[in-house]
Amino acid sequence: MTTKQRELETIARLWKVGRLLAGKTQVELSLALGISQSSISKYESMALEPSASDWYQFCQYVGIDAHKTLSLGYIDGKKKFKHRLFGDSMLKLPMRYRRDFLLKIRELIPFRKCVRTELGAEAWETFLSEHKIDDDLFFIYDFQVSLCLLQDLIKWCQERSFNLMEKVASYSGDIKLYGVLNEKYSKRKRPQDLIKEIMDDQVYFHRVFSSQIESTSQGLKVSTVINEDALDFFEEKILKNFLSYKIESFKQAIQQNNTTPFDFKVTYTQDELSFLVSA
Amino acid sequence: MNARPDKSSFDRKIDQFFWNTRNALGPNFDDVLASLGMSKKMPSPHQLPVTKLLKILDRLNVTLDALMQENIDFDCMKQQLKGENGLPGRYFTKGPLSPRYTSVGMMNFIIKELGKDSSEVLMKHFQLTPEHFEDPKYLNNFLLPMDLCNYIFKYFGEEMVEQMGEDSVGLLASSPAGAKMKSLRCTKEMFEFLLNEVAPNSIERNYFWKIEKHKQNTLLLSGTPNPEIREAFGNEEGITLPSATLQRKGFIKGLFHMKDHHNLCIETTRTLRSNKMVDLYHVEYHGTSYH
Repeated sequence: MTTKQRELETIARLWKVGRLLAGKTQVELSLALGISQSSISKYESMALEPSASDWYQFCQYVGIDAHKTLSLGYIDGKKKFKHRLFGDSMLKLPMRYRRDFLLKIRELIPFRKCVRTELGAEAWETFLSEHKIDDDLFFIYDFQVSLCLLQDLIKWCQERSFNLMEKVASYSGDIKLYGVLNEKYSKRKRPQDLIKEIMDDQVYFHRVFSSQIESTSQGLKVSTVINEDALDFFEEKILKNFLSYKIESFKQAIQQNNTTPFDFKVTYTQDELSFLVSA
Repeated sequence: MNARPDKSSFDRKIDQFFWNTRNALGPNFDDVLASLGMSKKMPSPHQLPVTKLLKILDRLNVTLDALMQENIDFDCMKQQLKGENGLPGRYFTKGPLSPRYTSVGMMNFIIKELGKDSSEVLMKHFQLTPEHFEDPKYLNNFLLPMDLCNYIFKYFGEEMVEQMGEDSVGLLASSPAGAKMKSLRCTKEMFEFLLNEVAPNSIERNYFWKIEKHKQNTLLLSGTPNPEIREAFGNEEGITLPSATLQRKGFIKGLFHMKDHHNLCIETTRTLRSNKMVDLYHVEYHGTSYH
């Protein structure tokens, strides 16, 4: 695929995702913006690239930043989308995945990449179609979904003898992949400081798990237990898997952002999972 | 219902931007186009496909959104293209200047929350660069933090502005002033120290702050733009932005958290006193042995 084709594909995808997010058909959008329906159809099918005026007008209508969205290739920002979660949006997402909002799509990006790489794009499409989910959703990073979506994905992979949780960690340390980790972390000299900072930033993680961070003579000790509220919604086994994955992803984050050699020991007890980081 | 936007006005703005850029940069603009593999003999600029236009704007460190809002400082663009660390004039030509602590704290939060790529486009939107945030002692007027605050408010919502305020306490907490504040046991003393020792060296020097009331577990703070900033900016809406109130609400929350007060409620109200807009921050906090 040439650069031009990739650019056209990105614009086509973003245009369609934005329109569905706004809950409009091509005809309705055409009437609202004064852009012909045939042009909109061409924009969404990579047959034509929009002018800057059309793109800006469209982004204004959807409530997204025109330059940023196109530069990043995904939609980031939540204010305008919150009210559409149950309402106008034409994006497919069964109610089961909307009953609580524990995960942002950005956290699922490593999982999408892992399945597409390890099992193939077709397998990913099959999962989505069996569970009536739009892949377009995965281009709206601040869209919030239930942890059930991840639970179903893990089970679906297990049925195909693919251990997703074991494989995904290696995809989760990639800084740019899900936008959570960033250059700032790479400036942390000690792995302990990096972990402290990452733990502070894991807002959604803390809704499901409670953690205690303690500096000991051996290093930084982090002890984590599942919040009781989370057990009302999810199977304990799934939560434990998710917790193991998150901890493995912390380790990956150190490996990819820190050059200092370090030790990372994980200990399981019946209710608690803890890890010790030392330089 | 909103009227349909006038597409021709967007086209005109793009054409005007090219005209202004060519005027400001002279032959250097042709060099920019050539470096991107584009000819200076291009069709009407507004007919350019969006990706091509974005490449030009990226090179000039401006965004499409800023172009459409006609917020481009062409002198700054010229300086930056020469490799100088030019700051847009709107951030230093009017009003009192103060160190950049607040803006640096905000930018740290934005990078942490949105990631590097996203924050770089945000900086570009205001013709800023990472170098502008290297030293909190650099000076600027109150418009820089206000712009950052308003952008987050517009695209990410109230909750994130409040979080940004709360997060910015981290920078203060790690300073000697923060250590002193942590050591003060009484809330009133902590806020007196904040208003007398910290605020005059930050963007808050533009506001007149007062502890209106303090009794056990209750604190009432008021803030109003001071005469200096009114003189510089008149009664422009910008000096009393609701997003700034939210950011301060988060900051106050962060200060209480720094002192391990987690059970608290903050309400903000806006009122007119002697024809001046006053923001009131009413804090109730519980569950601690000291007040």
